[in-house]
Amino acid sequence: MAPRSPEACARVWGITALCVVLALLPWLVNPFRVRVFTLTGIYTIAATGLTLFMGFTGQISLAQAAFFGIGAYASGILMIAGLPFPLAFFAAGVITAVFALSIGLPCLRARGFYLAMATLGFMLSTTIIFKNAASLTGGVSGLGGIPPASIGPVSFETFIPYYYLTWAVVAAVLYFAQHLTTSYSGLTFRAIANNELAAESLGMNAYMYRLLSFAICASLAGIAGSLYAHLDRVIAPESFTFEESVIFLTMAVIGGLTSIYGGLIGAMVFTVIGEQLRSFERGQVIIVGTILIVMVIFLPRGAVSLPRTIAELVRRARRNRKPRGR
Amino acid sequence: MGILEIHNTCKAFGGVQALQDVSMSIAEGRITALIGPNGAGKTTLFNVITGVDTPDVGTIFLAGHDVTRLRPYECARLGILRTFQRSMPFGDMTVLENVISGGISVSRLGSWGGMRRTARHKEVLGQDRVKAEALLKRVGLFERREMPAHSIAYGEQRQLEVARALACNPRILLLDEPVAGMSPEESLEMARLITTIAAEGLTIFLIEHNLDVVMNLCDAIYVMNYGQIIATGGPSEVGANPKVIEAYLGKRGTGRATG
Repeated sequence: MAPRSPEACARVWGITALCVVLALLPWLVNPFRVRVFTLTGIYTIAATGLTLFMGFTGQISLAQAAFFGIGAYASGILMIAGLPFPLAFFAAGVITAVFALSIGLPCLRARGFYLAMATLGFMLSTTIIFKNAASLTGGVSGLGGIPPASIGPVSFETFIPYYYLTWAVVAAVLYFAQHLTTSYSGLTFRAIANNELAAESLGMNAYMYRLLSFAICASLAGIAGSLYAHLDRVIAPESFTFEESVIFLTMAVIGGLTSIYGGLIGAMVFTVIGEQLRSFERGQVIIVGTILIVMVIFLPRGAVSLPRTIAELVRRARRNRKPRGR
Repeated sequence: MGILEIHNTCKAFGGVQALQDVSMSIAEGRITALIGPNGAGKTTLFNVITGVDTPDVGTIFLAGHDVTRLRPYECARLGILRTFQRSMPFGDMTVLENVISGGISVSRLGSWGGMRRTARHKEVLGQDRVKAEALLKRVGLFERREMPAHSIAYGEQRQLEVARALACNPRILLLDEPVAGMSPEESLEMARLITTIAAEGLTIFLIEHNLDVVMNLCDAIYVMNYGQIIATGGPSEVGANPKVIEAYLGKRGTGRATG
């Protein structure tokens, strides 16, 4: 089947090229960079969760870094307690989903600012708990001594195997997201986002869907957190602050909320720019902020819509070049 | 007993009594109309029936089931479907996707279906699609199936909404001003559609201001004013009722009610 639209075309080529580049990358760059690109994969997972939730429901969550942290601490603590990595990883996803449901149950009845405020409150209090529940989290000095990830006899202790493990999870997450958006559940989410009243009058339970997408969003942050915990094998509260939530939000918006690849592109743009601008130190924030403003003005549907936007511009230019009248 | 029974229902918004002790019985397989001046409480009654609003007092039964306090999606799953006064298609979706999404809650796949691509799932997906396409052919929108719903004409959007509601297997279909804002040709088209779906046994309950449509189409008419049912009966009976003439034309009105 030949892809028809410019977007479909760009998607097929983009994904193929991306897979090749990602597969070869660890052998082309120095180990420090491999760690950065692993981090990109981890951010992609958390940002994809946010993309699904915000794109599906039009709500804003400011708690993504809280779920990221809960996943990280849960996974770290459970592995220190002796659980094998796959179980700790799975538990991180489940525990964060349970937290999300407990906030979502009361808050998702209301819409808009209420949820944003509730998630902000949850975010701020979670950071404080990470800092102060020293017996559990190690307090401000952080949680160290987290064992390296391994699945059965296969160890992911060094950067390169861990890089592949992370990107395998990213692929699985995107595959899941693809199925979620193309199946009936995806159609239901789109219907609710389009017109909630009409969707409800056709038998769709909008509240339950909002709740579920919030749980999925948090759960993805949770497993991303688990991967993060075993990357450096030490975690500290300052990685899970409100600022981190804003960064996840920025990634989702930069990438685009209309596509499941928005989170991936947002995370890549963000980490690549961040790395390139490292030498600017404080200036980095200003430059990233400027890029964000420019992108929101010229690419309101996110970086993911770049092929379509270019195609539209080309089409318009061609039309204008044609002589008027016949 | 009718398929939809409304008993002594009241609903107030602040100090405004939108519904006052409304009782009615909608006969199965018939077309029933609800008419009345603007602000009479017609749409409020639709909202109360479909679970958008909960009545303060009273009970509503669908085929013997108490549906008074159910949420809109629960009412829809039991077979109470509706269209809205302002058309509400899912604008970003294609026309076909709109109709398919209408059938999701009654699909044999369930709303999470299609996540797994087994042969049986594919088969049901195909069946759902065929059903949606057949509905589009019925309302005359099959050629428009791949267009985004926001780009089709207003009259077509209203037809699309009917097709989408039909996809959800209604037992009763509530139409809120189905021909409002339509051209005479579009109105005729819609009236024909309503007649054919009613002829197949579906119960229709509609609000309409176009009295030509009401008088020609409907088997029974309820007239509302100030939140109360002021008259009921067949078209000729209601048309001759002095209370109805008064509500529509004022106290000294003596002309025909079909004005």
